[in-house]
Amino acid sequence: MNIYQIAEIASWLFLFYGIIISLGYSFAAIFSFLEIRDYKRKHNFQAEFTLLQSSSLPSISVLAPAYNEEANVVENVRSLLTLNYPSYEIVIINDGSKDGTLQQLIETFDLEEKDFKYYQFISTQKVRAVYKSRNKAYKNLKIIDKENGGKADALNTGINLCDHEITCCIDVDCILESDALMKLVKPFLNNTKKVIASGGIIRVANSCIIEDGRIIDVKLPDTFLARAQIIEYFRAFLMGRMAWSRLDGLLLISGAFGMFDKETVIKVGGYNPDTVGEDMELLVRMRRKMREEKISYNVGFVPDPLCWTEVPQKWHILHRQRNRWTRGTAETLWIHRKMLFNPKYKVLGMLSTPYWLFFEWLAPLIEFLGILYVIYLLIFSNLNPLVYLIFFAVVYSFAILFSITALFFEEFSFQQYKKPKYIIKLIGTILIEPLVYHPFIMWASVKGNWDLYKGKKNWGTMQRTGLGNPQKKK
Amino acid sequence: MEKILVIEDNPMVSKSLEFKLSRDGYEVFIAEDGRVAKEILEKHNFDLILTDLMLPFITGIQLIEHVKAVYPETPIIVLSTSKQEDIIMDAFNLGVEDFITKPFSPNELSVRVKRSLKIVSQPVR
Amino acid sequence: MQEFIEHIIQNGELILKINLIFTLLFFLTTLFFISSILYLRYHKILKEKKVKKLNEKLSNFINIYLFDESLSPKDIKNFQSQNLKNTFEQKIAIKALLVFEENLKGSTNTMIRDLFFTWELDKLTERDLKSGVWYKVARAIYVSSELRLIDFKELVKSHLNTEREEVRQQAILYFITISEEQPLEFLDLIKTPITLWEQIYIEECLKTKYSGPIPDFSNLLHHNLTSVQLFSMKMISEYNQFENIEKMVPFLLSEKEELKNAAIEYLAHLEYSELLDYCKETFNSQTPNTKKVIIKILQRIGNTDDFLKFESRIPAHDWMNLQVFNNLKSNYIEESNSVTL
Repeated sequence: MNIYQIAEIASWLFLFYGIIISLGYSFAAIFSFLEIRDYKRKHNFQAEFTLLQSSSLPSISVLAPAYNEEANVVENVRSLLTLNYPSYEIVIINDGSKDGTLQQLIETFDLEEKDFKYYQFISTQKVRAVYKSRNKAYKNLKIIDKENGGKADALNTGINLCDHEITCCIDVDCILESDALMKLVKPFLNNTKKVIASGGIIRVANSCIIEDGRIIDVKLPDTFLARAQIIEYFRAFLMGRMAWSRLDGLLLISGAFGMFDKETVIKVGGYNPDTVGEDMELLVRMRRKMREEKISYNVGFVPDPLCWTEVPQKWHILHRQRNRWTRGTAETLWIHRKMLFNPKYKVLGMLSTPYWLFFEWLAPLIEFLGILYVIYLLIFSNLNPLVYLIFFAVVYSFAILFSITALFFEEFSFQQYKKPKYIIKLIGTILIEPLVYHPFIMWASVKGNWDLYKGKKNWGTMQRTGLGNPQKKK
Repeated sequence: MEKILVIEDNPMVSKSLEFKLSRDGYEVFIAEDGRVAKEILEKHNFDLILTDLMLPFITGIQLIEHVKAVYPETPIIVLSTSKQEDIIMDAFNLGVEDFITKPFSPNELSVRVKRSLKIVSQPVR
Repeated sequence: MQEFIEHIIQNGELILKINLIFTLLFFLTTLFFISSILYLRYHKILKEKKVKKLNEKLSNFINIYLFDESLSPKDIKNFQSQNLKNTFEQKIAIKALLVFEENLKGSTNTMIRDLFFTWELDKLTERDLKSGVWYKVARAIYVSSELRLIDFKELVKSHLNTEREEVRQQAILYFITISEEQPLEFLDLIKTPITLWEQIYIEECLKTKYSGPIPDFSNLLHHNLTSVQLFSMKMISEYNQFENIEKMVPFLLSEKEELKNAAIEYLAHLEYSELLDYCKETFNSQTPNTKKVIIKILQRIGNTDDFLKFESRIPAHDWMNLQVFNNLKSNYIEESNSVTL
């Protein structure tokens, strides 16, 4: 077999993979379009009926793990305390922070230790103390201090100790719209089937103007890195999850903001502390269990932008984040490999998990191989440079088409970026993104797989600039 | 001519209020939210303020606090759909002169505005 | 460029040709989407301008109509023929009228309704109601309930059992809003369970949209649907209809756990005197869920001792309920401490 034959076979394989991916994306686009159109129609005639006063709404426990968050924790808790919902408690779980997180909270909110008895429905690290405020104004605030055990362990502790049947797990530093709980709880109530979880859309908070813990003006970040992530979030949420929710094949509710039925979470054993993709793994496990026990259930999805999060502005931190996400995906797929191509799990087995396998986990690896192959060809063959150019052109044009479609959906639905110049800038970002940002993300994923192979289970701490700081109004 | 500041975020409603009150012979200014209201307040002296409670950016209660602190003489009438007892109590505790619930009758509003202006303009004994 | 393409067509392999075609296709589609984005923006700005202009006209006209009795019937008709020619304009007019309707009461409100009919906007509403397109139907029902268009009763009726929750919600709103008395009569027509959300919604509509006498909710206690029965117990307790206590008591023996739990919870709220004895007698044989309900209401129906006595009755393996109990107990101790201080 000569070099040309290998080249030929490889070319066909890559082309085949490319076609599959394009088809997948096209279907995603169609389903998303239908979902967004329905969403728009629902909202064009009447403002959501205000049920905020109703005492019949179920109480919610908001769980937020905090690890070394002393810079922002107080501000974040204040913002959580002003959410608009009749009955909820805030549970902050201090996951053995090494800085002054706990001290800050104790001083600001006038906390005192409380006796506590609890049962470990899910086994976790030791709880040191439970605090509540002496001040009546903070009566729905509870702080749990525990030994360090990671995010999953912290959330499990919160689930063990929280009072209410519906839990909302969030990242402590994300900014919620004031009616976020209201909107996210609606699927739980408005359903004849049992609802085990619901999730929403995550937006990029960088550069937005924030006052009293609320987004008051949406701005486009100045850095390319943040803008590229905005595009990425459009693709992930407006094209990805939107479509999956229509197909009832949602596998991931972001750890940054999701609501769960506590009973079901406890029944499946809570978050798995052995994976870095605990948010995805939990939902997959819950869905799997429900399916295996033949209980009919639903997973809710609320397309409104309810939660804003600060994305990494530094390359090395982004690298760490993506490295972790890749490992999370791979671990989850490995744990639940039985579901893959298993018709028993219906959409989950035949569509969702294969999609995650091929497009989310394998795509960067295949891409990387492709690049190695091109380098190989460059060195060992004397192919016409035009060939490279054409291959490049097809990949590039597809990449921008995909992003542009996502941007189109954003424009068609929410139009969060109101100024016309933002649109132009975003289009510009889309044109550069495949050349600069994408290869970097691919590399982070490849590295993640490598680290996983090497058995590295490091968290990767995320540096934050602080919520109020990036741009305070005046 | 007595000056009235109307703070209301729905332009259709504020316009109607303006129409009705100018017909009654007042000079009417409109602010669509609490911030704009604060700015206008710095430029003019008002004989009466008519405000909604559900406002963007600054709540009606915060605005009332501000007005009562800076312009203690100016009477305030609240015009609101709010049925929350605590908010209504808050408003009265802050010293608003009157509370009209939406939906409202325009004629009744005229009378109440007139009365609030009269009470205040009576000389202090 | 020309040369380059010819080169490929003549010498290139099939795979390159396919790639080239795809590249072209992707670029064209990209261009299409970019222009759509720009068009959407442009269209939106234009539309907003139009809406704003028409809204101003409408608002001026309606104000003059309401407060300045100088308009003749002919003027009103003229405004219609000049400004409300197409569906788009009529929709905006309806929206504007609804704003006035929502904010005004008394004689002005009646005038707004008259204007709605004079401008023949009911025709558009009727057309939408009959259209069969869910979002048009939902909007039309909403308009009908806001303006109390009772003539559409029959048309709306058929939407009470639709699968589209949005439409069904509007239909519920409609029947509560237009009724003078017996606002919940429509529940007799309901055949599919009402979700918790819908129950809250009905309660809220009843409080905000209905002004007649409060009905006797016990009529619904024997509805075919469990969800309606639950709702009726809740409402009996919400409106303190003590006279219905006797009718609720049989549900304590219901075989359906949810009905039994609701009966316990709401009878506790109504301070039914025999409830404590019932709880004492049956606690051990109840399911964990029912136990939880009982634990939560104990403080309401009994004294401290009654409450504390139950601690030993919770089975040692029932951690869920032990935790609920402990939480209540610690809150309770705290409260009694703060009283003595």
